[in-house]
Amino acid sequence: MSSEAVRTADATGLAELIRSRQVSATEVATQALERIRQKDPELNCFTAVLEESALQHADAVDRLIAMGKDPGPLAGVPIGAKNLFDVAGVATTAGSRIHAERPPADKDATAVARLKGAGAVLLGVLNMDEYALGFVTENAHYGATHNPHDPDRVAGGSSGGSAAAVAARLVPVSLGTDTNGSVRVPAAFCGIFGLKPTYGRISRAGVFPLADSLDHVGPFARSVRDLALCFDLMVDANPRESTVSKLSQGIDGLRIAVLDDPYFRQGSAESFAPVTKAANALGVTRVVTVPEADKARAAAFIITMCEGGHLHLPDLRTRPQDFDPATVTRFMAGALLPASWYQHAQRFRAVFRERMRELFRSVDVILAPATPCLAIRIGQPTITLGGQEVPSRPNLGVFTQPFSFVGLPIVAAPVFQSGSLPLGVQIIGPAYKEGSVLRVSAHLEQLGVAKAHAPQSLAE
Amino acid sequence: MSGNDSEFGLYADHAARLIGLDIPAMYRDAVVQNIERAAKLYEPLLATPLSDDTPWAPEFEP
Repeated sequence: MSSEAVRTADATGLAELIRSRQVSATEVATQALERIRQKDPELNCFTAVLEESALQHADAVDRLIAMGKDPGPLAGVPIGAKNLFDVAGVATTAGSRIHAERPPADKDATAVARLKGAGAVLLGVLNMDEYALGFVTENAHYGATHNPHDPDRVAGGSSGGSAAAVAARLVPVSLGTDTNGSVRVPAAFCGIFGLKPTYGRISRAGVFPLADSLDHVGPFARSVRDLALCFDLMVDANPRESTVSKLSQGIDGLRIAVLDDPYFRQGSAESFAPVTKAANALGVTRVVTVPEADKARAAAFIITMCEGGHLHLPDLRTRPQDFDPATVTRFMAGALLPASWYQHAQRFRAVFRERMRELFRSVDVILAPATPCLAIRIGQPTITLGGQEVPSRPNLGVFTQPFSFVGLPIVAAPVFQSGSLPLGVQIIGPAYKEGSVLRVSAHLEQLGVAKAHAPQSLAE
Repeated sequence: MSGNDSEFGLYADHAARLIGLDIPAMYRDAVVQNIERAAKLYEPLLATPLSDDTPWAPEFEP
């Protein structure tokens, strides 16, 4: 089995190769660790590589297979997890210096444990914005994660290490979190698939929070079937509810529409191109609007600032100098916002949820842009939004925030390239309809429209 | 308008004192700017009246 075949296989395909003994889990882990040694110094995806435990786990998978037992659907598949998931024996830094001082976790987060229980081999933990506050993964303590498609550009955030590791073929699958877009923005910037499931569907046990009201766990992958498989494993779906089994159903019976109103046109010229390309491929002509998306985004912003600020208030009082300068002033501001603002934002959530429920009475899936621009340059302070120059860090999620605000399931799918840089489309469904958004994503993949292209800058 | 004398600057200083937060001088302008930014974003939301039927407790199900 060539190293190229192992490196480019998706998780589902790789597990099949390992279960059928065409390659061993130990060989796969060894190759992946070697690739991390070669490529990660340039990319900075990993904050810790767990070589010893990974090789032990891979050996255990090989021994199970040798005994004729099935390690599970992710048998021997290398994975990584954002460094805010508890991993037994590893400090859950959450991208901070402060939490790096805490003792190592004594057990794995539930989501990590579910994937490992299905045979996955955890290779390490991945870089992020400090405390998941940001869309760029430029971390003062652990450095910036570089976009594999252009190392001068950000990988997106806050799950930037998770997305870049998958895009760079260091692992086929990784875990991230999404409070306001932290799976979808890096998936779009790195040209891979990301799933933000319905709020509450995947356990957050053992995951350090940013804003409890809005936090979601989600996987990154280079194929839709891998996203679906990871989702099924993490929700512990029974076979009759499996989303993997629905992927072959195509889009028959699904009413799909394009979300097009001025709010979603305030980005750069190319930001809407993924929507147009996906809609053309699917033959979608219907257009819908989402009134008050700007208010939903504002409410999500206020809730995140308040909850994040109050979560960290004890450390903000006693050791502000130990925070990342890019986050400390935002957390402080959040801790100072009036309670009435927070209350109003939470109440508006119920109102906006009804707006979206009403919309989803007449459609099953909507398509929207994922980001207002291509991946920005590392250190780029501003972007242009609606003709105005605004700070980049808080505004790259302007198109993702309204939907995570009400917990809808969304796939970010890579459907567009501008030069070497990818862009994604959000495929959005009503609550609990992950199957619908994954079916549309799989159909786009089957048409060759959605595809996780290999980064040119990392060609061998 | 940011700075020591702005409405937001005065608010930040007073609110910080009330919650026992000492804002280091090097961070103060950025903290005030972040509050101003939140206030600007919040304006249209505040202008949206919510009916009495809208739940008051921050309890949510998707």
